Amino acid sequence: MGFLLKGWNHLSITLKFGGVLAILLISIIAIAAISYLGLETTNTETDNALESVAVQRSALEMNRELQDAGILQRDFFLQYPIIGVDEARSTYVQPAIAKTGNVVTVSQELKEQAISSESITSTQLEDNDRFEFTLSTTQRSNITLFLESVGLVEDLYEADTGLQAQMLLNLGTLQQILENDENQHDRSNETLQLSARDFLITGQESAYERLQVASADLRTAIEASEDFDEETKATLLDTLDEIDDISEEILDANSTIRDNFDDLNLLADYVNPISEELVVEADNSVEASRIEIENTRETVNRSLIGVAIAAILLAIVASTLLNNSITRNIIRLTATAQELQAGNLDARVNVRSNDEIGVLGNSFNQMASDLQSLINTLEERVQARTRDLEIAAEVSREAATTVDPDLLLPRVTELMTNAFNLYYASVYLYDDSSQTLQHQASASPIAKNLETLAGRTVAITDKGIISQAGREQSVVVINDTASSDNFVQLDVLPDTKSEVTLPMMVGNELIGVLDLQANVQDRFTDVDLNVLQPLADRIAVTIRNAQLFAEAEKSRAEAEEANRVKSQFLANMSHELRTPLNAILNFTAFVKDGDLGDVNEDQVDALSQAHGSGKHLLSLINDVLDLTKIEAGLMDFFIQQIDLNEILGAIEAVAKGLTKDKPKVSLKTNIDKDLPITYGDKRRIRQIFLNLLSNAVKFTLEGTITINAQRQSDKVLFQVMDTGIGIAPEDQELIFESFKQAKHNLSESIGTGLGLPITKYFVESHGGRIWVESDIDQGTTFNVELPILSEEQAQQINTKLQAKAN
Amino acid sequence: MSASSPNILYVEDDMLSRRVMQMLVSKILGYKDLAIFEDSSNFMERVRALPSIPDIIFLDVQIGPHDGYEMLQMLRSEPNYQDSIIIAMTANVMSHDVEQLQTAGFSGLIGKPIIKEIFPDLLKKIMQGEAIWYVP
Repeated sequence: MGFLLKGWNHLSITLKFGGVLAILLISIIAIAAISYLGLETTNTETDNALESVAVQRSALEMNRELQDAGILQRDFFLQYPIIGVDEARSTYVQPAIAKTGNVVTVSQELKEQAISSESITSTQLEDNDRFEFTLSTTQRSNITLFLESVGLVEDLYEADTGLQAQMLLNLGTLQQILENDENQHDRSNETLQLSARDFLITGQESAYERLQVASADLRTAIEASEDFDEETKATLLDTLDEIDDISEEILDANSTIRDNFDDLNLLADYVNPISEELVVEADNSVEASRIEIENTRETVNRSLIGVAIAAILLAIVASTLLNNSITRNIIRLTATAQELQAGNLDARVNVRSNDEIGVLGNSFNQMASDLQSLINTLEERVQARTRDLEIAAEVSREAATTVDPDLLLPRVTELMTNAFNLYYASVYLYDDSSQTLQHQASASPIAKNLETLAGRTVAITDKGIISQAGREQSVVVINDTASSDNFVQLDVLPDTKSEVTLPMMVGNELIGVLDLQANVQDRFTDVDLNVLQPLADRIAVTIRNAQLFAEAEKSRAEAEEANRVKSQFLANMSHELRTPLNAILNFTAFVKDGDLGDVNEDQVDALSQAHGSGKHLLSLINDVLDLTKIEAGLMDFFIQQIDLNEILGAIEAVAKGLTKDKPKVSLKTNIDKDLPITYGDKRRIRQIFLNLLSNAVKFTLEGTITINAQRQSDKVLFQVMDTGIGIAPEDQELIFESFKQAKHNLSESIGTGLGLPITKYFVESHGGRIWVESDIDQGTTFNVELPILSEEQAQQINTKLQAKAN
Repeated sequence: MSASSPNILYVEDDMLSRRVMQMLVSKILGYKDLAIFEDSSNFMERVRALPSIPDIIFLDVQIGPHDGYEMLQMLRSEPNYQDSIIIAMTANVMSHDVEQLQTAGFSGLIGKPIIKEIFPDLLKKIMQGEAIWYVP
């Protein structure tokens, strides 16, 4: 019996409980498989959740930036009347544009994330056009509209001081005449004064309407009143007219600004729901992932409970059949399984027998280790993924703030090596004309002499994975450079063990290739590539932007240079023509005037022709110079205080000289004796009158030329009237265009056809207007109306002209 | 200065311009004291060597070895010529040229070509101390 027992003890356990143990082992293997699969699912779900979170974060960021931009824009409109346009511009406009720029960047990012993320299947994104539309409208319209409104505000603000002052002046005039009166017009005046002030302060349409009603009432009252003489009545009615005009001007400008601002709000209304829906989608997706993770955990738990129950059953069977050592081992196994199930992943079973219990224990421990490392790996991966996303965000941010391409790429490569802990990173840009990739920048924390890579060029057809990535427009990875046929070793990079090249694309266009190298094998996993590829594309977009920016800069500089060359040419031409004219004009004059001895009539006549032609050439030079300057935006003005009496006195003298040789033409002047002091460019204003005057003399063979100048409240009206050949109605627009003259039957061609366009430009630059009244053979009247400017208004005009000239 | 016949210096490298000036000043206006330099070498020595200090000095601007601005500087740095009437006589009459002349301290400008009919009047005004910036 003792022998028998001993024999039983030495029998293999397999023989003892072969069936039971087989079931147990199979169940453990199954459970390990289930757990592994479950954890894999959890893994994928976690990735999805992270992507959704990234989408969500971007959507929220986009919303926030948009709201910020909206608030800044609103603040601009609220604050500029208080703090002034210049300060409001720097405080609100610049940041608002930057914010709008951020919206575009973030929404671009968002789009890429959303497209790459399988869990986001929002209908908004399937409707790609709509998203593109949002992007482009945000980018273009928002900034343009906003800047347009700001421009309007500036104009209004500029004009506003003048308009408001004029308005108050007019209100004062009314008040002065009407205040001691107790009739109907006095009450209307009170209403008008109140509503006008209300309108000036609020700019509201309702106030404007009240103002209009009050103005109409007052008009009726004044017209019906017998308290005033005709002159006072006329003044009152004129004043009312002006109040109506000015208030309408202010209202127009206000409503244009409001319209633009409404457009901005519409745009924001359009973008907001899209990003809100994205947030909801992302929320749902995160929730789905969470549930999936829960379920998987349940499955794993249930499996582990299964293991525990099986082990307990085995222990019961074993304890009845086997000796204590086996029982003890089985009990330990059971306890450890329970511990493991409770979440202690460090739990291991201590079994030291040589039989299958030992094998079972080892397998069990192995399973526990696998489980533990699987879970640890998962955590690491989540951490790594989060870190990668953060780095990607950092690189993108950096890329978004650097516009100079020469600074951008070194910065990007440096960031890449630091952030991803790489041996080397470099960027090659693709040149389509030569079909080559050209080294632009590289960085390495270890490798030396990288500057020798400057100018390195790789043809797209060359061997190596830089050209391959460009050629195939897809990622190429070398996990072990030692065993790769495709690897190209560079002298300055002796320690490269693995390498990845990523094409940098904007749409279907290849911008360049990003080359990353590590000094360990297998550095670049699929997970890394998932982060790196979008990053490469984002860098591509930034490079494209920087290139466009550089191109724009270049053409701006070229345009400036062209302008400079043009004005230099003009200056030279002027100089080179004036010097010989000095001799031509004076020597012909000396001979013709008899300074060099007697001349006969024919000689005088011939020399007069030569002299006249010389003078004509001089005026042509001046006109061409003026017109070219006007067209190039180079015309500059010297605005100073001017005395119209003095200028017109001189013009009168010139007029006498001009008509001296035309005995059949008489000259009449009707010029107010005390014209006001105003501001303007003396030379240009003189030029206005001289041009009109010389035209009148040229086109009048006999008759009268009349010069009128009268002050009219805040304007001065000048008229040059002649009884000459006249201008047909259909030609009256034409004559203000360059190189065009009205058809006339005078035998010789006179004038350059440039005088009137230049005159018109000068008049309008001074804030005035010019118009013509004429008909064939009915004579011509040119009217010029110039505003009487205060020093302040003159300064505003000067600023405007300067801005135009620059 | 004698109001009827001022003492004039003209610095000009263009031969024809010198002849025009000579005609205008000596022949037509009949002023006797007109000195003319054909260039600006040894400028100050030659100015000092003149029999008397000029009432009006006309300077061409594009001239060598010293251009109009340099000659102006040299004159203005000597007490005798600090308050002289120094007029630029040049064909460089774009508005920025005029501004530059004003900033540099010229007393006035008669741009080329000189207009015979109005030159006597301009000269009279200049002698009366008016600032003339005339561009034909």
